[in-house]
Amino acid sequence: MDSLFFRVEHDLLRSESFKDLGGSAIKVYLVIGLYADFGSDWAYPSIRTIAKQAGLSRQTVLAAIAELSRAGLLAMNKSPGRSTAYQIMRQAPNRPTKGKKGSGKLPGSVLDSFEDGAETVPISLEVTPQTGPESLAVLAQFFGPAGQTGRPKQEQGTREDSPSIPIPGTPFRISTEGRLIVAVDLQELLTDQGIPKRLAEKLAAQKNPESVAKVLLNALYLQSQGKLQNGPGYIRAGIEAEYDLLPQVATRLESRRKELENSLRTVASRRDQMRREAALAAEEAAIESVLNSLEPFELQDLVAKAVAALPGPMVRRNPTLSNPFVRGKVYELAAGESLESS
Amino acid sequence: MPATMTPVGTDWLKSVLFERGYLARIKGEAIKVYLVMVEACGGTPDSSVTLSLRQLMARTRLSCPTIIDSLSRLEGLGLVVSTTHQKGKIKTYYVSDPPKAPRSATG
Repeated sequence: MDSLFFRVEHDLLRSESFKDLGGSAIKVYLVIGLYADFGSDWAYPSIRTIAKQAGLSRQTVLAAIAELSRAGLLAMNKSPGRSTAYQIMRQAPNRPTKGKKGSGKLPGSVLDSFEDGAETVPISLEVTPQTGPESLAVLAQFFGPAGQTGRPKQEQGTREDSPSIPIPGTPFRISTEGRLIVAVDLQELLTDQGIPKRLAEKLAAQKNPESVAKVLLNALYLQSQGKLQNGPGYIRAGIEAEYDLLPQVATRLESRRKELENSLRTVASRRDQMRREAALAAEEAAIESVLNSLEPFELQDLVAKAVAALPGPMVRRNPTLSNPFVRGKVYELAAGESLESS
Repeated sequence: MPATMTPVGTDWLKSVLFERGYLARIKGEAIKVYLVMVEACGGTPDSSVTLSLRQLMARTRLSCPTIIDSLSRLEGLGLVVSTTHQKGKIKTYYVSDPPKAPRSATG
């Protein structure tokens, strides 16, 4: 908690947005940072808690949250019947703010969104998914509407040996380490976005494909926000200056990467389960084979020995061969070796 | 008007703002001024830093009167302590370790 608080405070002060934020927004930011979980950065304080800690009214807290969201410093996920989740967005870019700092008066739509139970407010990109690999807008499928329902669906056919997962609607993949994997002709992709052919060729040859992918993903986000006036100019400048991912984009990629991790974990767990089942089946087949090879009187004798050798509670209720402990012991006595799983 | 400050640590800051309840007591834009002052200290113990009013204005994008008012509020809370030099009108502010039970704000 201490280190997170320290980080939150520093990120806020380093951010250009700090200058534009009002005192209330800063206080709310600090309180949310205090409650944030160190691993996930998500915080679930109630409005009342924030208001109490920051010494603000409930309405002021709502306005401050909206202000932080607009500044790109805070993401929020509100689900009906559940606590609102807040996430501190670190290293937020400098964003133009329409309102005067600390005014506390926000557009009704923003404030309303906190009251009417909208699912996710700040990162909603309001883009219509399109198809067609030529357009940058296809990447919008990845960003899509925010929130649980709008999240990219988990890939069904993830290969067990693949350390990466596709980013839906984009030509890129993301690895478990969070690396962007580009398996497309970048030159063609850049040309399609309006970059002159020769420049596209030069950029594709000289620049790291991952850096190019980052800028393209950023461009889509800005485009969906209506903040990208000069797409080719931004892409060119971004590639040359090696822009990092915008926090909002990075959050979504991180979410996708976590999906991949979960998927791999599920596959590994399923594989272990199958291995265990196969081992049990092999064991049972071995027991069956040994038991079938015994004469009835030998079997009866071994069952009696097994029952005598096993602890009472194991055989008291069922001292027959249908008891797996008895079967295992009989196998052990007959074959002269113990079962691995016993 | 330079502001000279004593160093502070993260635990200390957290304690002041949350455990001692000063965050709720700091009104208006004073939190911006306070955070900038604390950050300027760098969290290094036993060191001081000097900030001009102009620097504070640049870092917080607040007006001169607002900053002076904020400093006054902070001083009222005991979060900073000012000393006026004998010569001239230079006022120096130190970030202090406020008491556990906050005094009422005067600013």
